[in-house]
Amino acid sequence: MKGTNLGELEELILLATATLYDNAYGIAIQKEIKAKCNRSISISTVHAVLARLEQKGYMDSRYDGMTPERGGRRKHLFRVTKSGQKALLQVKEQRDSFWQGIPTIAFEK
Amino acid sequence: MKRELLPPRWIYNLLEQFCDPHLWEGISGDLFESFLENVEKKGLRRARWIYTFQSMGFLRMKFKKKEKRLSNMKSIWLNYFLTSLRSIKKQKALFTINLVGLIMAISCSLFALVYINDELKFDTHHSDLDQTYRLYKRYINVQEEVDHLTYETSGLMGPTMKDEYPEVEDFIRICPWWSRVILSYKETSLATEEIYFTDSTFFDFFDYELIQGDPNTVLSVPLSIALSESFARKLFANEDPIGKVVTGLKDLDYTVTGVFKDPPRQSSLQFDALISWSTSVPGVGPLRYRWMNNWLAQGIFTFVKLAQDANPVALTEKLPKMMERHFEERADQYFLKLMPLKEMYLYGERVRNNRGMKVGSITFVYMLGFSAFLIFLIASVNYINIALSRAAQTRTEVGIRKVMGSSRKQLMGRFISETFFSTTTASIFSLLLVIWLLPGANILSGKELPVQDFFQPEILAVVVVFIFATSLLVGLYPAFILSSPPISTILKTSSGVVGSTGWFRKILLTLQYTISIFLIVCTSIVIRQTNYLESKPVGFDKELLLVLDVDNEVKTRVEVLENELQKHPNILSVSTTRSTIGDGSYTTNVIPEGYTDELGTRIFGVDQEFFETYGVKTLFGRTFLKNSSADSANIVVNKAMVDFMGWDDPVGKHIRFAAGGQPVPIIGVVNNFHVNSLATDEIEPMILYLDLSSKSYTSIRIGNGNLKETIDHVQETWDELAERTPFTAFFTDDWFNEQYNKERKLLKISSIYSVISIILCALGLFGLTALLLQQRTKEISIRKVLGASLSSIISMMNKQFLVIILISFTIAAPLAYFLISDWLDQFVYRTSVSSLPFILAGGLTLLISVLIVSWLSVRSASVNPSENLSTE
Repeated sequence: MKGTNLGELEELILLATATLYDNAYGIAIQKEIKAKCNRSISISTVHAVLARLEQKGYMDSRYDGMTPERGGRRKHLFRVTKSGQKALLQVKEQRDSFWQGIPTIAFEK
Repeated sequence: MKRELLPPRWIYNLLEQFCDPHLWEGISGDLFESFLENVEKKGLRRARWIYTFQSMGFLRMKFKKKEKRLSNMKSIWLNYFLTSLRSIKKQKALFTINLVGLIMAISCSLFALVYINDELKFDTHHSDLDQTYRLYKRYINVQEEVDHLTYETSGLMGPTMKDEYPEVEDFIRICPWWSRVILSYKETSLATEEIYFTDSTFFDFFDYELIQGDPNTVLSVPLSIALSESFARKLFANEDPIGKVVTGLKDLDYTVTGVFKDPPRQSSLQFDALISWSTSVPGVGPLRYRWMNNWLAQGIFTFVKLAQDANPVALTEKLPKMMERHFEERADQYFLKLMPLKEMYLYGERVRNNRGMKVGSITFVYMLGFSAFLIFLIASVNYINIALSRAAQTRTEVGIRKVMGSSRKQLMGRFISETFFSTTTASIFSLLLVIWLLPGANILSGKELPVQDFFQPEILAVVVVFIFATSLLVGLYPAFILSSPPISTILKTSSGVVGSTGWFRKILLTLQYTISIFLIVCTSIVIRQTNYLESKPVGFDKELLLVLDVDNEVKTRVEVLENELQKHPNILSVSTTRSTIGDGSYTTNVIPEGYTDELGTRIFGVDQEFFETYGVKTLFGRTFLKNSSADSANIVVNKAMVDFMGWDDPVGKHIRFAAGGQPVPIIGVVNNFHVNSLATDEIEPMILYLDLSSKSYTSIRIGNGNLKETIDHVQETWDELAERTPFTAFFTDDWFNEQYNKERKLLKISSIYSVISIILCALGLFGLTALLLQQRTKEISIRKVLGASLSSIISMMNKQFLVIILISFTIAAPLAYFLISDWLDQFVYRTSVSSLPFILAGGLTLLISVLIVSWLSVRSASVNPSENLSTE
């Protein structure tokens, strides 16, 4: 693994999970990303990334919320853990420090 | 749910099997939710497709079920393997016995498998195989006690069937030529024995590939000939054969109109050249062979192709009507039948007069398969017996493993895996062995099996299945027994045999001996019969009698040939005749004096020197006067004729050749002599007549001088006279021996199988006895200490085996007797089933067994008892 560095997709999914807070499960996350970034990610990829993040300890999960449209199955709900939050913040800080260091002149013409 | 709005079941199930159960609920829920949404948006059909694709996305290692694997499983199996190796190392002799047995058995089976597979594939290259039938007939003649099946048909049967029965779509006639034909082009002359006359539809009817020439017209015009690719290449080298003129049969000129690919090896029909049928039709072709194109003569073969829905049985029932309409005089003797082409090769062996084609033998296939199976049985028994006898040695191992927590299942796995190891090793060795021995086996079986036949997918699949099946079958029972001892046994020191395997072992041993004795009896009777056929006097002196075929360009100059030959001092006598053994004589009906009916008699055309040359003895009267044609209206008969008629004074009796014909006087009687194979043909009443015009064969009686030099002289004389006909000749004793090729083939195979069976039996007995002695070492030592003599110990060990051999003999002898009597029944002349082969088989097994057991007993009993008893 590349240290604690997050992949781009991992970052997006962590953010989406955090946004959805108590209703973060596969389909919902997929739709959130579609809505915010207009990116189509296959459902299996979402699940794969979720499983990887859980293994890394950035997320934990539980089963809850049985609904008829799921054929009576519970949802596999995810929540960002403390270390997940830390990782997200770290990414944000790194980006921000870059943004602050960019001279305004760099983007002109 | 409203309607059956369900995703595809199969992918759901597949995924459920595949996925980690912890993740499964979430995954399947998400998939279902998205599915319902898609149903609404895009319809059920597309939603199901999308569901399937989405599901496939989940088939990755990330979601795979974690195997509940015991972490030490690998090391347990490794340990089993090591223990197996160690036990093999400890018991090298036993392992070798088992391995050698298995290799022999598997090799036999493998060869049988490939051989039988090959036999079954014959003629399958024809696309209309199921609709093609060969016409044959049952020939019944009550008066002469004739009742047999024959392939001979007449030239008009095929065409008439096609004309009169709509279900007969097509027919083809084939007339393989009886003798060798020479084909010449410019300076090159080639002989072939595989030359057929056939109808123009040949390439349409059968699936043989025409490379050059028009398939529709290739054999239409009289004097057309089509050649096989290899034959054409030999004859024409690099020239284009089409349109070339070759001189061939009856010295006529034939035009090459086609070249075909050589018939495949697995084809009954084998031919180098095909001549158009029209060549033989009177009024159309130059040969004017009425006998190929009428009802009366029976010398050609007919095949028919039926419509797809036609019923061959129904058609067969209609055929007597056709015979009555067209050929009434034989309607009560010839009963036409249809043989499916796919059965012809293997099942046609009992139908007579099949010339110019390859024939298989279903009897041989069964014999081979059955023998291979028996050998295999013996080897399996060896394996089981030796494995069971090892119970005492493995007892401690099993006990300790059980203490350590092995389950019964695991322990059985341990023993079966050992068997699996042996079978796999043996199979690999067998494959190599069989391939190495293949050239020899091919000569033996008269078949050209290519090596790649062993690597056909179906054969390899069978071998793999076979390895697994054997390992289970052979390994299961011993594994069951060996894994049975309870834990407590390791605490005891007594060395009792595990389980009540004693009686089981004895039954297996009996089975083994039964098979072995059975095979030896059968083989020795096959040997006796073959020897009998080869050594039975044939009624003339068959040694050193050379026969030349002169029915060719030499025919007109036979006198020159005879004169030249007679100049040589080592040539005692020369005779040129129409008939010789195996050819030129025929059977016809005559009316002897004092007999009202017609009598089927063999007619044999000879010259005056025939009797002297062949060494046929005169019993009464005289034979034909030399250097005179005065006897051309007289005949000589054989002893069988006199016996049949019961004449006391045969000389001067008359025979008429037709009802109103001239009576011909008999001037002499000669002893009976055979003109055909002793296996199939009986001595019949025979008439010998003086035929000085038909010169087909020149027979040469050679003296005891230098044989090679004499033959050289004959050949030189021939080469001076013949321009395009190569020299070929045969010795009459060779001819007779060739007639028994089938029997000799059977003899060789069954000899090999019985030798293998007795070797395997001996090996098994050796292993078993060695183990028993090992187990009873202490007992024997104590017996010796208490004063038992060496001979009493030997007889003690032998006694149990003697009983087993006795029982086996009682079972095997009647079985062998019935089977072999049935086999002998097919021969006209057969040896009696005497007691000798049975005594031989019993004695041989007994001798070998006693030798092995005694030798091992002596070895173990001669050890100083103190050495064996002081080990504790």
